[in-house]
Amino acid sequence: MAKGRKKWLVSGSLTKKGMRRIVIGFLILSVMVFAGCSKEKAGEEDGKKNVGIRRELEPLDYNRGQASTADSQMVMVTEKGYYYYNPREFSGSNETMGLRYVDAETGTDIFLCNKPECRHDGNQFCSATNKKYEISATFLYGDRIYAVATEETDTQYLQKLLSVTLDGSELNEELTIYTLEKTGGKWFGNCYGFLIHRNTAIIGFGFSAAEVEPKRGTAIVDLNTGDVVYLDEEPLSEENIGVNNLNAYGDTIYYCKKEGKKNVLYRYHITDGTVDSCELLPGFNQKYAVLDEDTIVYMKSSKRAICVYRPSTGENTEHRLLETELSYGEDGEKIEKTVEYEGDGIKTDGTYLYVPQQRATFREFGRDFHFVIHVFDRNLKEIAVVDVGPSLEVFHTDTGEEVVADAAYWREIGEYVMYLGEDIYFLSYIMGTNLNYYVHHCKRSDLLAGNPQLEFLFGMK
Amino acid sequence: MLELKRILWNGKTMLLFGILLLLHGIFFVFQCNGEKSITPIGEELTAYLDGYDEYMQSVQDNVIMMKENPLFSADDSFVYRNLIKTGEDYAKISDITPVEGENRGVMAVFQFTLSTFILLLTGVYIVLCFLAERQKGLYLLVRCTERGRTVLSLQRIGILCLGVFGAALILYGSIFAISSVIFPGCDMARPVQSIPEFGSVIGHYSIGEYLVLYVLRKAMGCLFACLLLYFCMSLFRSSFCIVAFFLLMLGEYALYAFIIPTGKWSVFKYINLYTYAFCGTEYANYYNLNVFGTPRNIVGTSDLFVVIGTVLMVFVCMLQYARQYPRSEYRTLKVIEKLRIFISRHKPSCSLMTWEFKKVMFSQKGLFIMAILIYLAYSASVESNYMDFRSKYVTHWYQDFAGEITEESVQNMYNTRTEMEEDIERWQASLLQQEEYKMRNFLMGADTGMIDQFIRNLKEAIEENERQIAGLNVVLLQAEEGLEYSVRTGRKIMLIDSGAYELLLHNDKQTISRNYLYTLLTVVLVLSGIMSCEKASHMEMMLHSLYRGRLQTLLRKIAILLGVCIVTTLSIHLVQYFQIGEVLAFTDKDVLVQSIPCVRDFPFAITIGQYLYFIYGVRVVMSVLMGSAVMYISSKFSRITTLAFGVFLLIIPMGLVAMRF
Repeated sequence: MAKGRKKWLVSGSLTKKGMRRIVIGFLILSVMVFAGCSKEKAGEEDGKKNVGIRRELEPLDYNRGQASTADSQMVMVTEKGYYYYNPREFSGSNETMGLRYVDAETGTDIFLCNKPECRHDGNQFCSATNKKYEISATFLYGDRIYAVATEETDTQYLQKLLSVTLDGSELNEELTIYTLEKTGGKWFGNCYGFLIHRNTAIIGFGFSAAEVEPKRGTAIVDLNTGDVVYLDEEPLSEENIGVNNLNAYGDTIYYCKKEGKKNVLYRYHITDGTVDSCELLPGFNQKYAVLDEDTIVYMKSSKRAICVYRPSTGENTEHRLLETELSYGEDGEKIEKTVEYEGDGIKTDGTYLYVPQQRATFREFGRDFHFVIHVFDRNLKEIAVVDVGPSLEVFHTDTGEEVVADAAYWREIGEYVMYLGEDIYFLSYIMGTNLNYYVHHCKRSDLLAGNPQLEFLFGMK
Repeated sequence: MLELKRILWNGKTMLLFGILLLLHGIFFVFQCNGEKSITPIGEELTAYLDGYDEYMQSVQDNVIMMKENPLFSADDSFVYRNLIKTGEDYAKISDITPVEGENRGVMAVFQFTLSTFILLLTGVYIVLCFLAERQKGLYLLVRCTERGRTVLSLQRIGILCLGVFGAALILYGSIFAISSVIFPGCDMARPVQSIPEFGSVIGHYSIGEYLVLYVLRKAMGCLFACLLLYFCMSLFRSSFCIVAFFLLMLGEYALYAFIIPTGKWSVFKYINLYTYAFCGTEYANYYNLNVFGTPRNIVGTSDLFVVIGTVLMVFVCMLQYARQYPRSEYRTLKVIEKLRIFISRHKPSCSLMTWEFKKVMFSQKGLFIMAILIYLAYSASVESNYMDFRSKYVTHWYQDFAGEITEESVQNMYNTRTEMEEDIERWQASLLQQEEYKMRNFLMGADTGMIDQFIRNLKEAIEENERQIAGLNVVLLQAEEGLEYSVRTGRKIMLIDSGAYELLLHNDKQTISRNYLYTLLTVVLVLSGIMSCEKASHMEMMLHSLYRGRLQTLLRKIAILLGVCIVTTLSIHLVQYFQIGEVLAFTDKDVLVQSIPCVRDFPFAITIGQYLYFIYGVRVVMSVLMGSAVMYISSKFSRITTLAFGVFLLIIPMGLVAMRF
């Protein structure tokens, strides 16, 4: 080749440099071709196929986290149906995953797996029952269900963040939250709290083993970049305190921590990654709701009042929970008396505040517990008191079978109600051979009108 | 023809391939391990065969049900197209009737990774032989000769094809013959779906046809990889190409290992040279990739990719060798050379140990060989898992009578057995009465349903007790032997469920022998040049005259030998320990080792835990002794001679002896 000539093809012959360029070009082209193999991109999918999406998608301000790991978004609601994950210890099966989908129209309950040939036996191709993972919490966000799961290898326990598409066509490993080297006995992965808001996930994770102090940590994950930061000095330690009762509003994620005997409400600011605590009145019992950036409504351990905290001024105000009690005098005269009552928690759908109460009504042969919800507007003015029904409620399953909810478990129903705008979902569970969950729905307008029509949706398998 | 003779049809190639073939056969014999679960057999296989039609029907039912579900029913979606394709594909094989038979031999062939490795090694060896003229400085001369470019490159590609496909035929043919001897009676004309692992293969193939297809696929994958290497060698230096090729395969392995099948990048898991060449049953799974929104089966897509890639590489290689002109200037190399000089001037001086380590592990490729062989030993172990053969009628007696074996405990066992035998006698008497009673009722025309049920229950109880007694007899025999030993020696013997230890120490000899062989092979290959390298470079005399060039250097070499032997032995042998531990728990490590029946004659009174340390220690010492022998031979002869000594005097005899078990 003539000296100084830069052409890579000279007189019909290829130089080494030219050949290298062809090779590199070919490799780049191959990568581009394969990277583009998936025609349907996540962002486009919703519009094109009208795959159901959650009603409170971004950029809505309000987002609610889980109350506990077991009922993380107990029902994940989309326009087409409902998604749920039944933990193994409750379902009594040997499945370590078990993501399911219930069609809203037909009520068909299937594994979230799009392969008709799949036996859903934990095989590696099944996006619903892959036995490689043991899920501890799930969260519906955007067009995916995210799950915190533990994978056990020969040498390590890996706590991972997984994502599953809503049609079950993909199960992806998004990132590894933490890796624990195997030492000694069997460890189990736990999730103390999980919430995703504005592409930021906050995960209270940990590991526990028999007769050993559990180790905990809190990870903040940027879903855009995959970066993981830990809130505590040591990512995982016996000294760390697990986060729980997560909520989000605007650019802030709220979470609770128990420090000694005191419960503290913290705020994590997504924009700058800083954390500060709220100066609440003593006795805060981790029950709270965020109405807006400057209005946090919470309860104290006495449960007889709801308090409002305004972060901008640091001001705390207390509103007693009062109701009118009816009694009859000796002459049969009706006597109305204003008394205090105990609220079982506090929740919001962004418009109203809901304070559940367990009210005892006396009958001829004993007493009956009723589940009552007090509804307040944003100014804490009570606008409705609704009796949802007696605690010993008889429900009909989809097969027509009559089931009776155990009063002992109804007592906690305040934790198991999801207020999603116009739709309210109730979860009840009944002790039997296994713990069975039943999901009911009612319209908010019906509830506010004092006439909640509980409609059976499905029983979790 | 001359090129063919130079590369393939010569003594050195034949000898090397012969040795590899022999070792390959020996290792395959160890792979055919009856203690391990190669493929479902017995009831598990029967259940699969019985449920096959039902499964096929359920797939079609699922397709119909899922098509009606709004979640999957969007016409233009991949999910919907996948549903339709799956339904159509499974309809094609719904008329197949799988037949029961011996599948273990053929499955062992499918699962044997070493064959692919040797196949790839053969291909790489042939490609390296193509560079002979370059090493001898005859490159330009060869190019100037008539037919020295296009024709020669075509001939070489032909030789590579012949070598790879021929080697595949010989390697797989040989192990298939061995498998037929070890597990005879495999009817190769049965549908491939008769093997549970291949139940989802779409197509009407017999087991024989599928095996041929499988071998061709492997050979094609290796050929593609070797052509890539051949092509790269025309562009870069050979050592760089070897490293790049190794890294490419490592990268492909990483993609295979870390991408999950359901993930969005799954296309890179299956359109992948490692998966294609090395994975035995991966492509037997039914799975459709999302290729531009269209479902494409992993097998068809990978076949297409490899065939197109191979054809393309043939043309590119031919074009490259025929049209490329060598350049005298290598500006990049000059820059690299300057950089190398700069680094060597400024890098801190290393210790004697580091230099010796570098010589053995890097210059002589010791680390590379160790990694490959330990990986092969590991993959050979994990290709199949152990089975728990213990009967539940035996194991619970171990728990019930756990503890020291004394006359009292043995008497308790006798009493328990007597009680159960008495129960059986009583129930048998009752059974006779009930049958008489049933006959009377029957003759009177009365309903005998209740009596039938009672009789059934009695029979079941008798059978159950008989099984329990059989189980107790096994435990009792062990207890009697233990008691006799205890009385004779005065040592405290415990009754333990020793299944895991017996498997580890006695029953699974095949794995132990295979591990010894892999350890020996690693030690020989890694240490063969440990002493001879100085001799080969004529530096032996100079080394001896240098400060610390004799004893100190020798001590460092011995330290490396110890390190190699310890790491290799423990890495290879401990896999078996952990694998058994996953199925059968290693308990009671603190009791006397004589509590395990198969090591009762061991003279020293130590615990099981200590005995395990002892056993693994002995294995390390043995490998150190072998390593020392190799080191000694290496100090007297060249590396090739040491290798030959190692293979012919140590490895092959040991393999042949071990095959007799």
